[in-house]
Amino acid sequence: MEQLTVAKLIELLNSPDPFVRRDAWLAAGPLGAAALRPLADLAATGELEISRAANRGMWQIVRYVGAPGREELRRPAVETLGEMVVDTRLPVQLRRDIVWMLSEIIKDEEIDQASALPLLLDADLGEDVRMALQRVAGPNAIGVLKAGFTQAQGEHKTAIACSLRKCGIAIDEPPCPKLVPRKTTTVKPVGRDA
Amino acid sequence: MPGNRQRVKRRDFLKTAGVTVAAGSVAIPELISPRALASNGKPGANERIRVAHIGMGGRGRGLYGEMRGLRDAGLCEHVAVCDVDDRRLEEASKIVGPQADVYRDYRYILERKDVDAVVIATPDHWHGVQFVHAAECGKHIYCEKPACCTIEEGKAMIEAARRNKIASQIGSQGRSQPEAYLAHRYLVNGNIGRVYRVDCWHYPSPVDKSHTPDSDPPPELDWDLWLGPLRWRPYNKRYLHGVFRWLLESGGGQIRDRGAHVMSCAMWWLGADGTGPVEVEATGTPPEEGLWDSCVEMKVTYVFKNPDWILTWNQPGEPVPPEERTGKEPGGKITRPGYGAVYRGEKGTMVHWGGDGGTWVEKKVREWVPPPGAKDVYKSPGHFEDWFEGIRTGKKTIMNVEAGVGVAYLCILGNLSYMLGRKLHWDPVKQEIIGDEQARRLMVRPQRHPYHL
Repeated sequence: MEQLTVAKLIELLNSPDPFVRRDAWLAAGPLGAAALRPLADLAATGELEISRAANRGMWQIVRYVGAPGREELRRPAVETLGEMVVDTRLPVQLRRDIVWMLSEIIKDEEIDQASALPLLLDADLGEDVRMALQRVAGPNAIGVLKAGFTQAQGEHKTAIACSLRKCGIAIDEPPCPKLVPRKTTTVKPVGRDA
Repeated sequence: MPGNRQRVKRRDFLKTAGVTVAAGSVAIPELISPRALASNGKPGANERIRVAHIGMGGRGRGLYGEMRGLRDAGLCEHVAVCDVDDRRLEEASKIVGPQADVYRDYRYILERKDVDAVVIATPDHWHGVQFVHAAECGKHIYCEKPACCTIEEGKAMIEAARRNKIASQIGSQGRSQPEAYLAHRYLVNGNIGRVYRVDCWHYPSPVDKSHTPDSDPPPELDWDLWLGPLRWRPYNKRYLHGVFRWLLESGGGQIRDRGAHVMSCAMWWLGADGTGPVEVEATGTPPEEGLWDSCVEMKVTYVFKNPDWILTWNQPGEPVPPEERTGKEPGGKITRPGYGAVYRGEKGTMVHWGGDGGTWVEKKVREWVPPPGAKDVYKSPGHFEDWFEGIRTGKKTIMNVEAGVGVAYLCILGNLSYMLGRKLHWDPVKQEIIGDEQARRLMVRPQRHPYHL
């Protein structure tokens, strides 16, 4: 393959040949942050399989830049992902993916509590952000969870409490409901007399 | 494999239970204090074990079928079934009978004091959470393989089993097959010398070429409960049923499906349970399209130290053609030759095919007659029978959760190395990835509320 550029990557990902698309996204890693926005745009607008290939290209970059010794690639990727995660023009499901991408490569000290708190309280992204913060589990991440706990309501507050406990923070109330059954079926035992 | 399963009489089973450890030459330490049995709702020696089934799809129904002999022998009864798909639940009720209660949410089963044990046969992404929850509720557990999907889940499972003193069996039932015993005995007695390398083969994973878009879930399916611990996403019918295996998040591909069988045999026969590799390096070819993302082809190399040996997983690798058989051999005819392993020792080689409910070894292994003074090895009475012994006596089972998690870690580390495109360094004592922060983060995958550890 000739020297891959972002433009060439996008061209290849639009190929009707699935093998061309696969080889293209597999090669996306070294393009780093510069390719993330074009890939996200393609993932948001492309035909089903092209969108999938673009999404996989984004993950490929995240896995590449997160390797030991690639700090100069990781940092701009985190910045770009951080810009995209708040871009409401992107589909919610793609923004959720971006949250999980960040959960793999963002450093705790790069988490800005003032920016992260609204995401934790966001109706669409909040649950994924909670899980991402739990994965990072450093002082800043825990700080956002603590702040979110004071502001969240209902089930989300309970979920954040569970995350804080996972991070070693003692929270008495609300209790964890993980063992409480909730869902019933209308199926009856076949052959049993009423 | 019904052909491999001996029908067990209750009296024979009770005679066997508790004396196998003493009679065998392999040390299987006690996990559960016998005093803890027959108390706190635990079944005593003369009580039937009251079993509930969580997950009644293809594998769940298969496991129920395998247990019917034990039920007919008066050793257990099936008191409840659970599935998140109402059609499957109704079908399960027809099969198991009207005495079994039916549930969509497994937690109704866990809160019942009259349930002694659960059989978990849900998609893999549920195993860790349901195992931990069941252990926390004091249930003995048979859990399908692979034991877990993340390193964090595995640690939590081991801890929950220990803390709650439950007997567990992971469904890598190859260890309990008759020819597995013969292979184990053959290797332990040095017939091929010190084993320095084991090469597994397996046919490739499929590609989803259906171009299926997301859609609304069918009315009979509780999509939220099916997803459970996984992060939320819209329903797509290519996630289920059964095909969850081809997604890295849930099934993990062939390596976590059949690798949890074939590599389980290697760890057992080489006495490597409780150990782990120090390096893991994987390469693979992803599908060219479709929802599924596990490797179509894959090669993983695991480097073990002290003792030094190499384990490799190869899709497709170099399959060994199956030998001719009459069907009268202990394991019968070879029906699944598409996977197996070659054991390479300093004095020779040994081949086995399969590694799950069908485990077959070469003729020279089957026909080897132990000379006087030869070492014997533990001979499982059957995978469920071995679990029942564990429940009644406290004996550690042949594929207890520590062993099952150890094998699952091999599969998980292989996939992580593939996903990250680099070699991983593993501390088998601390059970942690070393020197790679992103890989360390991936040891944990936080779970959706409230379906978490």
